[in-house]
Amino acid sequence: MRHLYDAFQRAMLTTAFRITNNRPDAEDAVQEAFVESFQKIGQLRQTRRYGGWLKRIVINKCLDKQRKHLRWEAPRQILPDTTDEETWYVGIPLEEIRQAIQQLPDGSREVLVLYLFEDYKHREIAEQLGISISTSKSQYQYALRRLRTQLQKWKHDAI
Amino acid sequence: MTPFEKYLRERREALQGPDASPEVWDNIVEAMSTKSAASLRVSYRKWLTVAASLLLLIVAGWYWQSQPPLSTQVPTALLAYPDFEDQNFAELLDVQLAQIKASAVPAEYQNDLQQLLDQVAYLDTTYATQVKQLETRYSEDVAKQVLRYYQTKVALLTKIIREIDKINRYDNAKAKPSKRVPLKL
Repeated sequence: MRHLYDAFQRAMLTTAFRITNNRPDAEDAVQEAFVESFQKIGQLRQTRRYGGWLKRIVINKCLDKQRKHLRWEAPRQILPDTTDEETWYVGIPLEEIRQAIQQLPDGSREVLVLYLFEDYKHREIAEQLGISISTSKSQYQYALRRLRTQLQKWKHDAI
Repeated sequence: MTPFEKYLRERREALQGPDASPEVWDNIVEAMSTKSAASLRVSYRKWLTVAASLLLLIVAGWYWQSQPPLSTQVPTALLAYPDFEDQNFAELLDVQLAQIKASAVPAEYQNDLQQLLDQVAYLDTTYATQVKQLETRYSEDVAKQVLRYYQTKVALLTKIIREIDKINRYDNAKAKPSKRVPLKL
């Protein structure tokens, strides 16, 4: 079991942290997910699917924790784009991008993480978060635009 | 999908965070051992019930057999009983008992396992009486009971060995394994 933990803990913690934006909650979710997976590992028909199966458990644990205090922000508050350049993000360190994602409001951050990093469909996100598909889509676009605004500001200040 | 979305998706691995703190694994091990211990405790209770029921059946059978016979039977050697020779019970039991004798378990499980072994040992007293009975007067039913004794003992010891193995595996996975003590046979 230790080898499974060693192989997956970092990726699982990353996913959990992206969703919860809170290290103690993320570690709790990862811990609970590993315990559940070890107890139910006999139900897994193909062991090579362990990683994907475990990630689903982690995400569900995180969403269970988040549902209680999920905060949504109305997309209309966004500032207009300051550039039309397609490759505006080039030169921005990944660490800045990671921090900018963490600073997104909970709801839009979760939609962005699930859609962009975890390959969920908007239909699945809507089901998981108890929102409509159109809300999922609009929150995703809002997250992208907000990221863009924030990162362009960083780039402008850095220059 | 815009170039920025593609850029993020392609770099999702590079956007990974740090490792989990060491307490996470310790807590997983602790949670697993607590849950395992709980399930083992249930399993022991079940086992004790099964062992007690078997014992009761055997004692009742022995009592019934020790009553005066209603008819005389032709004495035959015990080993001539069909199925008996083929199964090599004595050798199998020797191996199992040696395996248990060589093992050590966490101190907190010693009593539970010892109780099971004591029940198995009690079966031996019934067995001795039945064999004595067979030597003086052969009975097909008693011979069947002796065969059943061997089958039961082998099955019980097999399960006890498995339990010992399971307990030790969970204990080894703990950050601080418990002190081990031997079992008395």
